[in-house]
Amino acid sequence: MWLTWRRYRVRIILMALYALALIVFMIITERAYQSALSSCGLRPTGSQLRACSGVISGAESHDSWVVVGLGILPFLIGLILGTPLVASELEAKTNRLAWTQGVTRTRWLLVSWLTLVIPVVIAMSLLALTVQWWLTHVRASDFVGTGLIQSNQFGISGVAPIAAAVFALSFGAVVGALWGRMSWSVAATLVGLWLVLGTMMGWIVPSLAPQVAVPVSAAKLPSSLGWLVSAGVRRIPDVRVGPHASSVTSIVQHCTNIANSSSNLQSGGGHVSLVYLQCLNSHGVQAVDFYQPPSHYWILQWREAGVYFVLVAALLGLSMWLVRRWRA
Amino acid sequence: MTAALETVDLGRRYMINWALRNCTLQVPEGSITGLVGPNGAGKSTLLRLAAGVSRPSAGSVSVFGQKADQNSASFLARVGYLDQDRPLYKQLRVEEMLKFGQQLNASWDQESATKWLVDLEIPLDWKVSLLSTGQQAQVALAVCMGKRPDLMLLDEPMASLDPLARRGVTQMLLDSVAARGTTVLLSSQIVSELEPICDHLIILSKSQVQVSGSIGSMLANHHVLVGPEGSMSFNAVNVISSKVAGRQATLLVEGDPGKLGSEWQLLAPDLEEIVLAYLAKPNARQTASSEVSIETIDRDPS
Amino acid sequence: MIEFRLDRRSGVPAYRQIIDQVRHAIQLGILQPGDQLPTVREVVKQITINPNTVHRAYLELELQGLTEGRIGSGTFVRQSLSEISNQQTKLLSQLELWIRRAQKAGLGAEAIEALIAEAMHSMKEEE
Repeated sequence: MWLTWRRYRVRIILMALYALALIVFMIITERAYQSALSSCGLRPTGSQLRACSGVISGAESHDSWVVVGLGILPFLIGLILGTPLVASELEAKTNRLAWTQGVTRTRWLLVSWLTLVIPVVIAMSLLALTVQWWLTHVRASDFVGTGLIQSNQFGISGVAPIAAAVFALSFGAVVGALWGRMSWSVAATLVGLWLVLGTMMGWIVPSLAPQVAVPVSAAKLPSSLGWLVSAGVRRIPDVRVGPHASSVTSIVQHCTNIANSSSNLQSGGGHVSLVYLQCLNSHGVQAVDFYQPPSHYWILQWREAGVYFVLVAALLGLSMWLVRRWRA
Repeated sequence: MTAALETVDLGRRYMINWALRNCTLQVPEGSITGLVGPNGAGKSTLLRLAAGVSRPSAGSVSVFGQKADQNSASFLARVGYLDQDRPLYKQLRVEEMLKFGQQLNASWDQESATKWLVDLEIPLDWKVSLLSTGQQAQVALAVCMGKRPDLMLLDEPMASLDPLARRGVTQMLLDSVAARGTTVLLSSQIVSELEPICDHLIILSKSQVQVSGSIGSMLANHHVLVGPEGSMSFNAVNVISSKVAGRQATLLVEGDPGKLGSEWQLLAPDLEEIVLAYLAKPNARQTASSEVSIETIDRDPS
Repeated sequence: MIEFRLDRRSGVPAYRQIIDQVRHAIQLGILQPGDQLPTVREVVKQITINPNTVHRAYLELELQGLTEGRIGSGTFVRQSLSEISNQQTKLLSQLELWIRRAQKAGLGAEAIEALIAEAMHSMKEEE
C-alpha cells in the first residue's frame, strides 16, 4: 500500500487539489448568487430585471462550469490513476521487480487498486455533497423548481459521480492490463469511457425506472417536470382505434406536411407548431415527452450505482485474471 | 537431496521461435551454478521461467519441489530474482527502494542490506535515477538479497560493474552460501568470472542445454588429445571439437579414450577451453550424466 | 590463525591447495593441536572460493585424521597429532644424521637428492 501511495502521491494530490478548486468555486458562486438574490428579490420587475438578468445568466454559466468540471473528472481519474496502475509496470518492466517480491500478483493488484480507490471515493463524496448543496441553492434557469433532475445535473450529484469515478479507475486499470503499453491504453481508456459513460447516461440510466409520458401542449413547459429523456408520438390512450385507422407514422407524415405548408416557420422536430398538434389530435394521436420525474431521483441514483458496482466487480475480476496470466 | 531448481523438458516459445527448448536439468541445493552461453541462447529465458516471471510453453519448472508460480506466497518467499534490465522505480530514493523490499516481503534483513550499500558508498538519499548504471545494479541486487531467499536467480549480475564492485558482489554471494546454504544460479558471458566461485555449470547454446553438471566432473571427463592427423577415431568417446594445424590434430573429447598410442599426448583442458569448444559446436552434447557432487555436510555454525 | 592463499595458475585444484596448506601449517607449528581452523565463512572472506570446496577440503582433512569436527563449534586440529609430529621429528633428526654422513662421504646436495630418488624408485618397483 505504501508503495502505491509513494508512486502515485503527486497525482492523487493534484486530483485532490482539483476537487478542492471545484468546491471552492461552488462555494464562492453560491455566496455571490445568494447576495444577488437577496438584492433582486424573487420576481424582479422593470429596471431591476435588467440588472438581475445578469445574475441569472451568470448563474447559468456557473452551472455549466460545474457540470463540465465534474463531468471530466471520471475521465481524468481513469487516465491518470487507472490506466498507469498496471500498464506503467508492464511497460517499464518493473513488474519483474514487483512480482518477484513476497506478495502475490493478485494481492498486489487488489492492494494497489484499493490505495487509489480510497482517496477517489473520499474526494468524490465531498464533491457530491457540495454539488447537492450548491444545486439546491443555485438554479440556472427560471427561479423556480429544484433543478435536481436535469440530465446533466443528475450525473454530477448524489452517489452517481462516486460510482462513475470508481468505475473509471477500474476501467482504466483493465485496459492498461490488457495492452501493457501506456500510449495505446490511454487512447483506449478515453474512447471506452466516453462510450460507456455516454451509454449509461443516455440510455441505461433513464431506463432504470418507469418513465412518465406527458402530452405536449403548445405552452412551453417548465423544466421542473423533471429529466426530459426523449420525445415521441403515441396514440391517445383510451381512444378507440378503428379498424381502418392509418398507422401512426403516416399520420405524423400527414400532419407534418400540413404544418409545414401552413406556416413558414420550420421548428426543429415540428411538434412545437400548434397546427401540427391539433392535426395529430384530430387523428387520435398525441405528441408526448418522456420524463423521469423528480420522485425517481434516488431510485435512479442507487440503481445506477448498482450497475456500476456490478461492472466494477467484473472489471476487477478481469484485471486479476489478466495479471495472473501475464507471461513476460 | 532436493534439487533447488528442477526443469523437465522445459520450453518457452514466442510466436514461432523457441527461446528455450527441451531443457532438463537439476541445480543442486547449496551450489553456486554458472549459466553460460552466447546472447540469445536462452539464459534470461531460463531464469525468468525459474522465477515465475514467464510461464512455460512446454514442460515444467519447479523450485524446491514446488511449481514456479508467482501466485504462491510460499514460492515467492524462497526465490530472489535479478532481471537483466535491473528494473527499479527510478523516482524513488535508494532508501525508499529498500523500504519497498521491506514492505513487500515477509522477512527482510534491512540492516545488512543497508550496510552493504553503505559499504559500497552508495548515497542512500539519492534518487535512483541519479545513480550510475553500476550503482543501480547494486541497489537492485541489494533488494534481491535483502529478502534472504533460498534460491537466487541472477541474470548477469556482474555486467556493468567495476572490478571492486564485482568483488563486493562475489563476497556477498559467497557469504550467503557459506552462512545460509543459499543456492545461487547466475548467468554470465565470462567463464573466468564464474570459475572461481561456481561448482556447477550449465552451458546453453541456441536455446538448448549442451552441458549441465558439476565442474569437477566436467574437468575430469574431458581431455585434450594432441597427435598426428589421420587416425582420429576413438571408441566410447564423444569428440567435441577437432582442429587440424598442418600435420597436428588437437581434439577435445569427453570420456575416457582408453589406452593411447605413444604418438598421442593426453592433456587436461581448463574450463574455458571446454566451454568454448561446446559453444563453437552448438549441436554437441554431453553424454555422460555428471553426478551431483555436493555432499551432505554439516554446515559450520556461525 | 591460518591465512589461506589460492594460486589459480598452478593447476592444482583449489580444494587440494587448502588441504596442503593446512598440513603444511600443522607441520610448521603454525597450527597447534587443539587450534580451530577458520570457519568456512571466514575462509570465503579471505579468498574467492566456493564454500562447498572448503567443505570438501575440511572433510578430507578429517578423513585423513588431521582434524576433527565438533558439532556446534567448528573444525579443530587433532590433539593426538602430537604423536604424528613426534614421529616425524624423530625421522627428521635421523635423516639429518644420514645427510651429514653422506656429506662427509663427499656427496653434494644434488647427488644426495638423486640417491634418495633412486631408493624410492627401486622401493616402488619392489611393491
